[in-house]
Amino acid sequence: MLTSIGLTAFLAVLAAASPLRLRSPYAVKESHPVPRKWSRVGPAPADHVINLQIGLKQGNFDELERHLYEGTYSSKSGDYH
Amino acid sequence: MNDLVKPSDAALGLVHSWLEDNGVPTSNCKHSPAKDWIKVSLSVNAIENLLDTQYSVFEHVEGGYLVRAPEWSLPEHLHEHITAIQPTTSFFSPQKLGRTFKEVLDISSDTPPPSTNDPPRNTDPAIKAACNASLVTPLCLRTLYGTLNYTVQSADKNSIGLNDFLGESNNRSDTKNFLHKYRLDAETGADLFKVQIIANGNDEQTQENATELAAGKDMEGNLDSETILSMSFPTPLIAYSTGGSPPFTPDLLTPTNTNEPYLEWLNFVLNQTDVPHVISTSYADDEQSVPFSYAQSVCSGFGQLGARGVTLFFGSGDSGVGPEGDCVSNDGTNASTFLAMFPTSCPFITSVGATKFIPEIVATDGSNDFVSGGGFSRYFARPLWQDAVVVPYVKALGTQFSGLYNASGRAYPDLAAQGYHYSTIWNGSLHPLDGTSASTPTVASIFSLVNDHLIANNKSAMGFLNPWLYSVGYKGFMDVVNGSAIGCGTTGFPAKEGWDAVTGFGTPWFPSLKDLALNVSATVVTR
Repeated sequence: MLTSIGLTAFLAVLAAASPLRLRSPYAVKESHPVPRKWSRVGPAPADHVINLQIGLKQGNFDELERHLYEGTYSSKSGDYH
Repeated sequence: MNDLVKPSDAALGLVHSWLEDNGVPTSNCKHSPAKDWIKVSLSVNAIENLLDTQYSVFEHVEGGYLVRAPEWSLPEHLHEHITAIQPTTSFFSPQKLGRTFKEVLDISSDTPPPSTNDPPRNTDPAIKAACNASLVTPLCLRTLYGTLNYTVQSADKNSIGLNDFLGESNNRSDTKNFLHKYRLDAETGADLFKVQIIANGNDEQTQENATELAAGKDMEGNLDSETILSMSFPTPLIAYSTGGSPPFTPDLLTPTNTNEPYLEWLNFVLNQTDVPHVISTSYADDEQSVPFSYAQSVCSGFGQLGARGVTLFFGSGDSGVGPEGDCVSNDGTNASTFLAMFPTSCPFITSVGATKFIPEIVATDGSNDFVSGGGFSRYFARPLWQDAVVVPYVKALGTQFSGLYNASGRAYPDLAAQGYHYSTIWNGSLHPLDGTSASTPTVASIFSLVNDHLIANNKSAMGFLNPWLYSVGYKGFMDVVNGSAIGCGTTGFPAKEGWDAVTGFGTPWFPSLKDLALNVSATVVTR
């Protein structure tokens, strides 16, 4: 219980104050095998510019996805909107 | 919609802090409307530090280069907040290889088999007069699928979109020649369609040079614009041309474009308030060439568009259950497997297979190894609305192909249309083309006309189509029962009575579909 109060307080500080940075060690997030028809030919040029797309966990997509999977969300399932 | 997909403020704050710690100010970040995607342009060197990874240049056996990192890391406290980062592990970026159409090499080598037991539509003298299996024209398609006598009523409130990737564009001059030849009253459509450039996409309208001609540049694009305008004019057409993955020349060290085209397009379109009700896309790659996180992110974006009233059609692939010799898993076990295709395996889009001849059978063409694609996703579970037809189909297969496919996966295609020997004008002359790339704009056009009818009756457009398709809409399709998705050294999934994993419910009959969509009693098509 004490731990959880402490953690809550810590997180509250974290949310409120910008100078406090949460840091943690790096760990592999994703690894995917290179498809068989592709082979490495060399290192990428260091100054090559890439548009990096970072996807954040969506707050409540599960609910929409459930409706999509179950077919309860469909413009023709009764409700025109 | 944005509320559903918005990440928590805390998560967003942690990600911004991490980027700032790595020298990336928040002011350099572009956010999607729901802030579920952050886009930032960085050098390979900077990203390598940010993700504790190494980028390499990869070459495809058939040519083409990509800059990718097959493994990447994050600080542990961010693992739960970040679902995907690309371009890293996704090799989804077909050059020539992924263009799902095939140019017919010899149009005289194929003759339709003798037809037996013709269903009523197939003995219609108007169809027999309009259709010649060696060269499918707009008149044939409009007669066969019942749109010929329909008059567009809602052009001011409706629109249809198509996607160009990989440097493709839609040549106005060729499109105009095509419409002049095959649908004179739609000729102005070639001047009127809009082009939306995304991430340095291409809209070149000048004469192709020798290299571009050799590569068949704009064949795919022209097939799309010519088919759609000839079937749905005067419904406004918008062509999205998204850059990414053109030839990368590693020894020149020039900062070429290695963007991830689907994410670029999705995030652009999700950011628009006005999106066409129907969008046709004729590009695909092996599902296993992308990581699950990427497939899920892209598919969820498609789901958001569906929920906003946009119907997305994708070709089901052009190699049956997989090209022979390539049907091996990518997970290191080298197990034999059918190859599912993405994005057509996403349950939130409508997947389109190809047919040929009249009566229609599964489209195949020995001259260019084209076989209409079909199968089951390894990534996405079978949605509830597919159970009623897919479970019996799988059961009837029994142990056939057991272990080669995911019997509990999302099954595709959902439906089909002609995709064989389409007349296409390219570089000023006629080129008959095959592929689900031909079927997809055809089906998209027909559903755009269904939307036109709905809007004229003060109803909203179809939107996410599949639950309706599997519960009501299937009655407006003509069953295809002959042929199979030949591939991987097997006969592949067979066409059967009712739904099957190579033609879905079959091909559309517009007069029934427009009535079914309006919830009025329709003449159901029977064989």
